[in-house]
Amino acid sequence: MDERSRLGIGMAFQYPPAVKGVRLETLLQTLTSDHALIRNHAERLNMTGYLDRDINVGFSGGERKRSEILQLMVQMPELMLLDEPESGVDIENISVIAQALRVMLEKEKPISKRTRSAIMITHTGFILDYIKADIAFVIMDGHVLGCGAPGEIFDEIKEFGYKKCGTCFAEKYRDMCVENL
Amino acid sequence: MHSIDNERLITIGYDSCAASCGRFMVLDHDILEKSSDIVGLHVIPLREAFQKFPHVKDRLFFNLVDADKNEFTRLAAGSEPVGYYVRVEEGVKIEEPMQAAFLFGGADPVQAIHNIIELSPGAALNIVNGCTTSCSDTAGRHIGITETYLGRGSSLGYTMLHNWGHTMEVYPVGATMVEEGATYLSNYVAMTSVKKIVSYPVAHVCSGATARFYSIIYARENSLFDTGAMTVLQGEGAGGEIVSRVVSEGGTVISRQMISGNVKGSIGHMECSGLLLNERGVIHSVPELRGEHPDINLSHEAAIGRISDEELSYLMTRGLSEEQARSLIIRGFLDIRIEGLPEKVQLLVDEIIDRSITGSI
Repeated sequence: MDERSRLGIGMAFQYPPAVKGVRLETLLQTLTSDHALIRNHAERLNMTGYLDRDINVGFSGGERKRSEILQLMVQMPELMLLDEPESGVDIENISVIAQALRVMLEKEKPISKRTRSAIMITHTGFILDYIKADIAFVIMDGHVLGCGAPGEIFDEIKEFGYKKCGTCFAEKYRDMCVENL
Repeated sequence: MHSIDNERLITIGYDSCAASCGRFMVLDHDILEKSSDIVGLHVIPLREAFQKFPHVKDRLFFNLVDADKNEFTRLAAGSEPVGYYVRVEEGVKIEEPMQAAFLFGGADPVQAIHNIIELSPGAALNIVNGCTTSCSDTAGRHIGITETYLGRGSSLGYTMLHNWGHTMEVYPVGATMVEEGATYLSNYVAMTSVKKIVSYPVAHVCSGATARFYSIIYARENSLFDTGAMTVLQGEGAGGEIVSRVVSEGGTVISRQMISGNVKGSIGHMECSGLLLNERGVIHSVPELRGEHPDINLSHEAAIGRISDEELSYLMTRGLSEEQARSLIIRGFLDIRIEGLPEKVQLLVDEIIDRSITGSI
């Protein structure tokens, strides 16, 4: 686990466990000695009031997600694995999370200058209203059915449902998908 | 002063440079230091107190503790009393903690200490009591008797820090009378090896008074702790709390807790949480509640388990090594925020726990 982190991979869990006795700030302080940085990131994610609390103990679903993103912001991995970062989060805080992800992913820079990437799992696509993904993959039953422009794929899913992915995506996007893989 | 390893003193929070309201230090049966820097605070050897305050011998000495209770009290009763008498005059409230150290150097095979604390009505004091050996492999027995009398509305924070060696047997015997409206806060921290500790202090709590016991124990290989506390809620509206956090790294801990509610309005709660770090350790929790009136509220909770793999993996995804993650979880487990404990004493307790865990995990 820690080896993955040392390789530059970070993870935001869908259902992170509660760690009784370990304060969120204590964990963050093991990742950086820069206390101001922790405070700044916590403010960005509306989490300053949670730093003194045990990790995820009594946190709502949305608070857990913001806590996950805060930990990633302090960790700053090169590759982020984001497991449904918007599920259980109200609309206002989806925007807060997406904005933090945009900062981490250096979205303001030209693509050639960016140094970080993310693989994000989403079932609703809501977060795509706030952060632009470069490419989307449709995975069903453990298989990649297709890939392509995220907006297009979600429009098709909205119109035809996931089941159709099994047929039309496989035909329409197979070549592009294989190239990208 | 005799040659005393300062490192050993630091492990029990005795810092001769730190500010304190009074000091008392004993090596074996010799009193090395005694001082009081506050008007209204007396810190004197018990034998001197017998002369200066006759009621100490007549009414306080072997009053709460029965001299014939067991072989250790009999042994202490049969020897010249060595220890302190601490007295705070009425209404005197002292913020700066008093420091006391009891060192076992092995000059005699048995060290018998007898301390008496008396707080007059409305007084307030914090005592940090540390016990250690002159070096880690000094062998022997330490008997420590403490009788505490808290007058109406007074408040005592009593923090006991133990750092014995793996060849020491330790038998503290404590009893406290908490009179109306008074507050007694007892903290016990033992993070290092010991052959055996047997301790079961008792608090008698009168109307509107409270007694709270907190203990933090880290039992290493071949260490035996048979410890706990008993609170007798004997006055209307009396409150009691007993909280223990126990980690076994191969040692055996028997954690005995008893709250007895005898009169209307008694409220008591106890909790014992145990963490087993390997298969060699034993934690045996014995919580007891006894109610003798229908209008009382007594409760307990106890849990013993291991470090959760899920929590460990979670912390490791952030880049912590397994050792770091375990250390963080254990440290968090032992972290009790004790309400009413002065920040200075809390920091000292935190520092001692941090140092022990950093050095052992």
